[in-house]
Amino acid sequence: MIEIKNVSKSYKRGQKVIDNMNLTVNDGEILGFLGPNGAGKTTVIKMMTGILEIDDGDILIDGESIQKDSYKAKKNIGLVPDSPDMFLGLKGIEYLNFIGDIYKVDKEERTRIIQDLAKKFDMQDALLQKIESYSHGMRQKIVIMGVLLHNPKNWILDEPITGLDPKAIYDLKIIMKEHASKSNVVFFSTHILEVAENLCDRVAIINKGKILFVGTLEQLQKRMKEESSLEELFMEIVNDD
Amino acid sequence: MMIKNVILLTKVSTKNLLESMNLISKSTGKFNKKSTYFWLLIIVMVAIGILSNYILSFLQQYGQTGIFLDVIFAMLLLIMFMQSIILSINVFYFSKDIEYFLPLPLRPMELMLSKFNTIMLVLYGSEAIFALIPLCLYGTTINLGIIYYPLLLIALLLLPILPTLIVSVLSLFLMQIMKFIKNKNVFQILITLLFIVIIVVAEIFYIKAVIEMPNDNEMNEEMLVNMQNVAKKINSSFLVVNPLISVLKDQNIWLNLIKVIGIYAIGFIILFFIGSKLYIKGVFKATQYSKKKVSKKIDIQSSVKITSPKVAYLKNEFRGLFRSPIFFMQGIFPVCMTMIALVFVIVFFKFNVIDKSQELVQSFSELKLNGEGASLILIACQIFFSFINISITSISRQGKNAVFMKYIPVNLYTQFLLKNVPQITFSTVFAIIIILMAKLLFPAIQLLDMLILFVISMIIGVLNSFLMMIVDIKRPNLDWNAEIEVIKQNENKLFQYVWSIVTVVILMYTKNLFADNFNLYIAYLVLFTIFTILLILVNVYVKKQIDKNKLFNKIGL
Repeated sequence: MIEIKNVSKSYKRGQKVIDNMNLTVNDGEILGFLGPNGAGKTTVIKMMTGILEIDDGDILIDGESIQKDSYKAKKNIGLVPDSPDMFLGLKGIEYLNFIGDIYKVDKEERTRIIQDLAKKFDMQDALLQKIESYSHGMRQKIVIMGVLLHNPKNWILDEPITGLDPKAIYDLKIIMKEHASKSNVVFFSTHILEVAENLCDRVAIINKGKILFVGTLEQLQKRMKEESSLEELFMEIVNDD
Repeated sequence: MMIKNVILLTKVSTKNLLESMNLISKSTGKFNKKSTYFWLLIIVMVAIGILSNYILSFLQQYGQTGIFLDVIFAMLLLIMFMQSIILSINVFYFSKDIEYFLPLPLRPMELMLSKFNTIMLVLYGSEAIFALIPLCLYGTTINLGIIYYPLLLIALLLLPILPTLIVSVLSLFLMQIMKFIKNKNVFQILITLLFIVIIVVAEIFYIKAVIEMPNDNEMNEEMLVNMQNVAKKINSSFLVVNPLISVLKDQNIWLNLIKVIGIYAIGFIILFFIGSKLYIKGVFKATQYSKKKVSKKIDIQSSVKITSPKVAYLKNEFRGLFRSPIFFMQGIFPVCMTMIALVFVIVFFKFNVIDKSQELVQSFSELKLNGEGASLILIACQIFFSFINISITSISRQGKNAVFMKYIPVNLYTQFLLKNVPQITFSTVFAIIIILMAKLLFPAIQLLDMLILFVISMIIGVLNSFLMMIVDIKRPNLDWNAEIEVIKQNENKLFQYVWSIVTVVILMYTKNLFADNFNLYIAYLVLFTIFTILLILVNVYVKKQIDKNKLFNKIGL
């Protein structure tokens, strides 16, 4: 479970980029985090994962504060960052071994998961190549494989769909659903509203550092216009703000 | 149009360079006197100035100030050759920005010349730091007229063209042999090795010439003249250097300038001719090879290897350093080569000069270690430590990846310590070599002294590494497009220069306290205490900053 409690953040004094945000993502839930460019999505994700300091409030990951006991909190997080250009000098398999070592994944489980994921993401032939030779989509896949390897309870993905081929998007969606079905959390930001519409149990819409809406698509339709698509509702809610 | 585009690209590079150093204010566009780097630069230049002043006064005693020009130019040439060698292949062919430039409507020659200018800019930077003040001081010391200074500026503007031209032409040819090499990383290292071998061979000849000089202690003046001759020999090998020195000495100014410009004109014609035939082919080869993929079936069962998180982290640090040729070549390669050259000189000197003279054998064996000698050994260690660019780039090298360290479940203090290990490892190796070389030259040094010196040098090495890492954590350069920028546009290096000066001053000052009858072990204790206290203070600072979430707050913004 992820709990964002009264969180605020400013980069410059007096200019809050996140303003008193509250949001809870329950176990077994996929939450889509939507918002226009510059709305504060990445800032929230950075605070959730301990990359940025929180000015006010707190974020709890399975009850552990990311500020007070970051070690325990981080053990339960798997982050797919927006830029997949990670460790370009390593070979795919070296990267996975490195992640496996950092998160202490035992040999048997590591072997099984890597075999499984390499097949699923069609990466068997690429694991001996350096990541720098990968395409954007392949880089995205190896980072996702790294996260799946240690199977954290809470998945946080920043724009995970960008650059993936249709098969990989399909596979990722299945994996995200599978992960949530095991009482885990999947929190992801996206611009692709269609994916959010099909995949998410709930959506949170953020603009100018404030949450404008949290709920299911049905609740959003009830509040705004019935029979509208998420795209239309999103535009309406953001424009109203 | 061509010149316009080249100027435009050069302007962009220059602006980027100056802005990255915060030397130009973004709001006013004027020189930024508030920049830390501005002041650090001043401090380093002043230190070099003081050293030059000392050397000039020494030379003045013997009426040999003329040597200064020849030696400075010979040293500058060697530095600039080394720099352009390390830069050329990467800048011309393997920098990431090449891929951004290729789709632009630029002619190959424009691209090549802009790359040429990038190297030149770096060399001008080196000149400004290492040569400007010493050469101005030379002018004032021997009361040269006002005309000397504009001529000096012209000479300094013209000098870096020579190494850049030679190395660029050689790079164009060497790139052609790439078709025989499948791995671009191996290729970059091999080419650089080849270049370095050429430089080292030249250095060996130089050293041999110096060693052949008379060894009599009373022949200082003759030694200086011989040194000048060696420097002149080196300078005369590079056609433009002696004419430029003659310009500074007010000898046939116009004739010598025309000579230099004529030589450069021929050089550029050769560069244009070869560049038009080979450059773009080489660029395509480089981009093609960097995309080449080797498809191999993996045996996952045997590829999965378990290590502890700390060992895995450490392995990854070393991998990152060795896997990128440019990090390797800029981070540790030059200092390794310098160390090899130093060992070569000392071993050569020991077996070919000292051992052949009974008198020298006796005088060297009788020399006992005193406080002054101990300080000098530690100064040599610090100088070598300062050449290692590992800790000072440990965060910057990661680029945007650096954010990784903040979200993994590994304590930040542990990560800080682990990131220091590569630099400390190399420092340890260099400290051992330096102490062993001292023992080789002066057999009277006791084993206990060697052990104590090693311990103190390691404290200095760890302190140096910690401080440089703090500098990089506080001022990381994470938004780079080409690996070359991590070190070449790394203004943090100035902190390393300043810290080295501080350390040397501490060692020199304590050296002065140690009179000959001063107990050597008390001297060791004083040095040990000073550096240990400093190290403890730095460590406490790191821990406190991490506890307050302040140390790493520049990463992940």
